[in-house]
Amino acid sequence: MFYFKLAFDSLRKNKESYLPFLLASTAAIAMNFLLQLLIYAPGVKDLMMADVVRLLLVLGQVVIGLLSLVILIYSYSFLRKGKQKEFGLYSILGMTKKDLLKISFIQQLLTFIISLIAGLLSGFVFAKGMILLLMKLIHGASFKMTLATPALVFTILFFAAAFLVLTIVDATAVYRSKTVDLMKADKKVAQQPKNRWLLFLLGLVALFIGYGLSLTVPTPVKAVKQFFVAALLIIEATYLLFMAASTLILKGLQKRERYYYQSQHFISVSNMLFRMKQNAVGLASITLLATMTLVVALTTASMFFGKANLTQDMFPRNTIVTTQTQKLSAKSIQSAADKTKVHVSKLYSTETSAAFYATINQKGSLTATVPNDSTSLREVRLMDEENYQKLTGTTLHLKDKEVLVYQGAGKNKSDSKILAKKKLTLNQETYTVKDTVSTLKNYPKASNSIYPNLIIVTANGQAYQDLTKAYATTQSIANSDDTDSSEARQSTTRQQFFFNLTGQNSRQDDFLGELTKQTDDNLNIQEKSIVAKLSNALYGGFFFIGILFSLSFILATGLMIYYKQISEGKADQAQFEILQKVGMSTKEIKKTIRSQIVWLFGLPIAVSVAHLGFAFPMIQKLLLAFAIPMSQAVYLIMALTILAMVLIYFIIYKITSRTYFKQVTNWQD
Amino acid sequence: MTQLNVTHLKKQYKSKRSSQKVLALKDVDFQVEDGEFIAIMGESGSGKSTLLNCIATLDKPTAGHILLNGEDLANLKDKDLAAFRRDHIGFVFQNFNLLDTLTVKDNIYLPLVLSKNTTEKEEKLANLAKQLGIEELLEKYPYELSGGQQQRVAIGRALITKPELLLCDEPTGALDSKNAADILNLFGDCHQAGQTILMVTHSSLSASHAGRVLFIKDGVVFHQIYRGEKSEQEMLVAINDAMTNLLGGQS
Repeated sequence: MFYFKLAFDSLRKNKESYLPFLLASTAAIAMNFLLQLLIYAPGVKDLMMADVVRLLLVLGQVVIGLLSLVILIYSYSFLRKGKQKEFGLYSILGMTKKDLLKISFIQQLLTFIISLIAGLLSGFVFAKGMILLLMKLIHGASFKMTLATPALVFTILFFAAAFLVLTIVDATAVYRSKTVDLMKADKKVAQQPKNRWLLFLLGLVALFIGYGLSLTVPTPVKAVKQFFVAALLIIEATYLLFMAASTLILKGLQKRERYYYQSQHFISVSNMLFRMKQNAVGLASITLLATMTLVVALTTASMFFGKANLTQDMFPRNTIVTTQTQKLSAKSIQSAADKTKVHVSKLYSTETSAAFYATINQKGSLTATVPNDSTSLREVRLMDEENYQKLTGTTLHLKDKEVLVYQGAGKNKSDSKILAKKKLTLNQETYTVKDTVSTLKNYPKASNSIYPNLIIVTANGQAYQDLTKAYATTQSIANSDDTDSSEARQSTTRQQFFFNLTGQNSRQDDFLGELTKQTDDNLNIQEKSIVAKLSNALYGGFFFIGILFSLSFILATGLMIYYKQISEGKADQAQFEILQKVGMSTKEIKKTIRSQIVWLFGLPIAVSVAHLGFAFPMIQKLLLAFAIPMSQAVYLIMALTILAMVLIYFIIYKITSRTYFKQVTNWQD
Repeated sequence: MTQLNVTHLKKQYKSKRSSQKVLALKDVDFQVEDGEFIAIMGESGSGKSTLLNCIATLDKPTAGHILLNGEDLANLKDKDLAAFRRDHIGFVFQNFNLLDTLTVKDNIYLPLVLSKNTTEKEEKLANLAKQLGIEELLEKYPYELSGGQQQRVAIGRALITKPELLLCDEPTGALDSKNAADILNLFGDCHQAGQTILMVTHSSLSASHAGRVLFIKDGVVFHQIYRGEKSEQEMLVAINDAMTNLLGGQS
């Protein structure tokens, strides 16, 4: 009981640093428990795309689990400093190391139990809300959630292990230390920061290359490949520049006497100089976490909000049937529908050549090739005038060496420029481009291909045949809407039927089975409802994980800033006491403190917004790789994300600066 | 001319934990003439630091008056206190209290910068630095200096505004005897140049450099010794005798 009292007293005395730790561990437990509950929730299991969603949740669990560990260890390291001094006193008073260990163990146990209970409770309550959100996002039907035993067991064991690690770290520290060391105040002498031009230059170069890569990335495929390089460069640049540039700038300010020797700049500048040296790494980490939050939030939100348009654009009717066998017709589909008692309406069809890949050069010459990551690679189809007329109702009157070009999904400026010259070289012959259009009525606007789509409309008959022979038969395209049989490979004509299918589910299956039989298994069926469900599950899941990640990142960042301020408050207290004695008023002191905190909070936000701005083109291309075009909505999402982050930061800032003020200005009692 | 006039000063503290009041200063009365060098002596807890804080406007007396050049400190508004401190009073502390983030030069400039009076700061600094023997140290940082050097810098900071009154709180408490003697001689020089100095100490040796020594006990001025024509050695003997009496009276 005696040890318990000592342990409890020590917790109470250090509550300024213990409360945030309790909060951090509670939040970490809650977050992990929440994810576990969702993974085991019957509502999630019953989802149509349960596997996809659960996989995403498990991935989220891994990241959040690791992040929780980092947060725990980080915030615990601040606790230990205060605790060690107390233990030093106990040990001078005659306690053995065994007694100290006992106290330490009781403290750990207390913290663990408190945060476990609080975390599990809040996690459960929070999960109730989050499953509503998750189901809304992925259009699930059941909101059922149970207190699953495996979820509970996993969370408890995971954090018991984490706390055990902390206890062991603590115990070894107590065991190794000498009493005198325990008592010693952790006063480190700060060294004068030096200018580091080399680091500064390296950082600047990394920043330019990183930003440059993002700004100039030409295609989605390149974006996927270069993203990590660019990200690594920008991470490196952030660390180097925070370390070197801050010192250079502040030292430069110190040299400008007119500016420096003013009461409002004098203390701030010289303080920041020392502070930036100690905090450069921390601030850079905070900046990167904030950037990550913004990027994750922006990407997942864009995916989520872009997906509705995507399905809409991919499906002019609710069902698309594609075949290269020439065995289907409007008539045969209608009779199959009658036979299986389903209703087919608004049916229409079109014919194009099979798709082929080709590169287009500046002179407008099209060369067939195999898929590669060249920026000039296009996915091309040929269409004759008759089919164009059937689709759009417009007559073109194309001559033999005339074409019309449709720029579909992935439309880009360089193609437009080439086409504006009105000349294309196809199969070594020059064609005149009669017109270039970016809409093709009744043809799907979006595709799930990551290469820009082109459709070349030619005159009927021989002109079409010649080009098809030259391009579409030279390569076999294993595209999503083509099948693998050798017969299909030889066929160069692709038929697509668009119609709305209604009727009982089982009968719809019968109907589609019938069509498949008729085409000897050579049929590709795309159903809007299935694609919508899949993209709902995928992008809704992504968005949900994105929200959870953003929350955890912001929490981690907030804690880092809080602890930074608190740990520096002690040192700063002495300094501001001196300043008060030599004649600085409380008002001036408050102003100085405020400007410093504003800088420490504002800088990471400002830099991360700049990072986001430069990363924007690359994110745009990345989203295209997921077949999601950037819409106007993305700018709104970006603005909202930044706004939300600034708001949350402002709250953390308010709490932090209040505690810091209290700590720094309480020298008179 | 009387520079500092302390009359019937009383200071009562309410301790945080209990409602019991602690009487730090009961009834303190003394005057400081222009250009005097006064030491205030007393045991720990005698109230000498409280007295210094009251004069420095860091603390407010419960009753009584402190007049600096005829101006009652009690009439100063809270927001003017800081300005008053930096314009009229110089402060030297036991543990120097220099800012580690500023160079020696900037530490000394600090009061000038705070009072937005940075014209001719270079000349002022050059004169002081020569007088204090810190010309070589101006670009260094406080943590690179020895204790004695740091205290010189602190004195420089206190004197650069040419304050009417220099308050010293155990200025040699953290120094070895060689450095302590140097600092005390420095005070002697300042005194010769006409600077009024009020020093709180419990070291008889330090006090022996002063022109007058006040003894505080239980919150009142218990005794005082004028130096008159005494040498430092004789003054030291006199102070020690007085201290013995002081303690004898206690037992």
